[in-house]
Amino acid sequence: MRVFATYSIKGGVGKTATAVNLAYLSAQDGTRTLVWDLDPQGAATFYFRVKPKVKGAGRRLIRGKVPLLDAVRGTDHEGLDLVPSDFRYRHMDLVLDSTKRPVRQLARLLAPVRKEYDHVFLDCAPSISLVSESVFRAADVLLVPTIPTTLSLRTLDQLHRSLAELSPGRILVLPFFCMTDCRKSLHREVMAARADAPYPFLETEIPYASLVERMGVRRAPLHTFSRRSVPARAFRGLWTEVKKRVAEADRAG
Amino acid sequence: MHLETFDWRIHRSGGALEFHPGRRGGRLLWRNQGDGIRHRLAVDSAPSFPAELPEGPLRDEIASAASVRRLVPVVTRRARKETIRILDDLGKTVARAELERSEPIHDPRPRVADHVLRVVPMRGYDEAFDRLEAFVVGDLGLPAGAPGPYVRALQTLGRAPGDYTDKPEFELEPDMRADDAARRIHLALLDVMDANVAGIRDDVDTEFLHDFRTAVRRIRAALSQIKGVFPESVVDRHKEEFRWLQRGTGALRDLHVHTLRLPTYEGELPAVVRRRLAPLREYLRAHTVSAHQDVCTLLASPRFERLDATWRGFLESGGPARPEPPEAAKPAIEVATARIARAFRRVVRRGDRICDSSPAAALHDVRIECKKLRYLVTFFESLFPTAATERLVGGLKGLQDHLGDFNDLEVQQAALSRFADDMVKEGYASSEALLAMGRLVERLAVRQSAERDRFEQRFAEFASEENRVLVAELFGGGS
Repeated sequence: MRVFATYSIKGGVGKTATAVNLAYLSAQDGTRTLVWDLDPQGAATFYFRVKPKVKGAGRRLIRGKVPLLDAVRGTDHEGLDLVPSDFRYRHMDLVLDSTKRPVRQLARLLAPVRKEYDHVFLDCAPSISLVSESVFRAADVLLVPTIPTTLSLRTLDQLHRSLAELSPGRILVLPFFCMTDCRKSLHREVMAARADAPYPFLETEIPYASLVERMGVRRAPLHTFSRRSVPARAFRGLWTEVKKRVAEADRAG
Repeated sequence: MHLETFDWRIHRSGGALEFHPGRRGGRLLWRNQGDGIRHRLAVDSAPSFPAELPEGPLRDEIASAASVRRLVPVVTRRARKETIRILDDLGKTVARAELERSEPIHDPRPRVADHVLRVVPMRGYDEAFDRLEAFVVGDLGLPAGAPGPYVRALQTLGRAPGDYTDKPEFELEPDMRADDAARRIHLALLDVMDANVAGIRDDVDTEFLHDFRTAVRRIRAALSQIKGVFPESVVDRHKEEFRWLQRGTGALRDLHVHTLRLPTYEGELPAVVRRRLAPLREYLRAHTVSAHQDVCTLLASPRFERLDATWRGFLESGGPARPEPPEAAKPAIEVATARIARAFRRVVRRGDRICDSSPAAALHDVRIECKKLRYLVTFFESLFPTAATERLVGGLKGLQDHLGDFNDLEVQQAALSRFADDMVKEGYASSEALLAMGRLVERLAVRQSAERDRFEQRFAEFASEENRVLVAELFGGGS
């Protein structure tokens, strides 16, 4: 079982669109996929038309009193399941703190579903907190959507420093440019300077497209209503590249 | 297109494998019986072996079920499926029903289409599923638990999942005449043997020959171990014929085994030495082709046809009312208990005699006696309480596995030495290949020696007081 997490300190950069679309593509590959919407805003849950209510979502699930599998809902899409968000997740930091080992807790909760799913996507809330630390511990791959601005690169540096400090073990960090606009000179300059970043950027970039925002109207992954559009092809390219980088990292040991 | 191995391994592992052709290639699906789709993969064509698929969970699942057997379409049907989604107020699917109209394609008769409604549960929406199921069974009045379209399509071919097995059950009654019991046993074994002939001829996969030879082996064991139920001349003649059959197919089986084993051999050598085994691979390939031709000739021969026909004829005709052979008219259970008790005694006696200085041949003898005992218990299983026979067989299996490994290691060493000789004679050998094979032989010898050390313990476990008492109770006469 491999755990992917879409992560960014900033909001509105495309974490959820990335998580939902890549999870959909993963399920289409035939891989059993689970999405866990950790964001109390519940955007991924909204995209899947699931009610943002989980029995015992607050304390009981996070403390491990309710097995994760009980909270899973099948989505409309074959091979793709969801642990929905719940507004009570806004207290998750506090609840994690009350457990014996807060930073390892998410990994512990995920362990029993190892046999049921091959890929898990954690859609994280934008923050740097105990929840994020727990995600760093649980995740094998960290996908970091980055809008090509100076501030975004700065937050990438901050992430690099935090990870170094927390030393969560082997985690593959894959930043990629998203919501790019090639007409903006700032975007072009920042993307050209990618070599200065603390982690190698993925080649694929996701350009800004209002079609992606249509996901909120259609309430479905992009590829179910727009397979051949530019952003749809970009996400497919992104997923292919992510798989390739993961395989390379596996081979390197 | 439903894919299966000849012996229904996909079904036995709880799954079903379907190939759906599309415009460019198609989709391969693995369904868990009763459940929805477990794995999906886009492929270019229906695979014959899992190695043809890209790495991934579907390939792993198929490989673990089918092993070295070929996947063959067992039935093809044309299906149209309509999905009925039950939505909640957010437009979210909370339950699914699939209405499938299916017709088997082979059927030239007027099409008989099947309509099956499958109610599919969705994770986390149990209540909706229960309500839907209650509606379908209650309000629509459809009977639950009918066989699915796959099984129904198989039925139109006169087949059913699991209708071939290499381990048939012999259903005997205790007061049956012993010779009738023997006939029933022999017929079941002959059926298994015959069922595999086409697969050997067409070289579908290696296991057809394996199952064929196992059946022949069991037939020979039945002939020699169930004594006194058939006229001696018949028995002697057929012992001879089946021995001819066994001998004539041995070379090809050896080659199959070694070819299947090559990846393991390669794995035992360090990477840099591995490719030096290439000449051995070439040698095996060339000899397999000619050995296969020999076996095909044998199976097409008048001698084989005669054997099959006359033996079956003899078995299918009942025995005379007052048979000559001494044991023939006795109740089957009497003959069974006597033979099994005797076979057990022989195993124990030979095993007791083994000490550290005994040669490998002595262990070989124990192995042969164990096999005879095992065959006898399996033939007559249905006459005895299941728990007891299972315990006996379980204990026997432990000893047999150990002796089997020991013997196998010896056979492998001998075979590699023989191949080396032949390879030199036939010009396949490089000194590198021979040295690599030498290393393999040495490793096998070391493992064999370790295995030899385990004999005493394994034998003691089997010939324990507990087992002797069990045998005495069941078969009236242990040690």
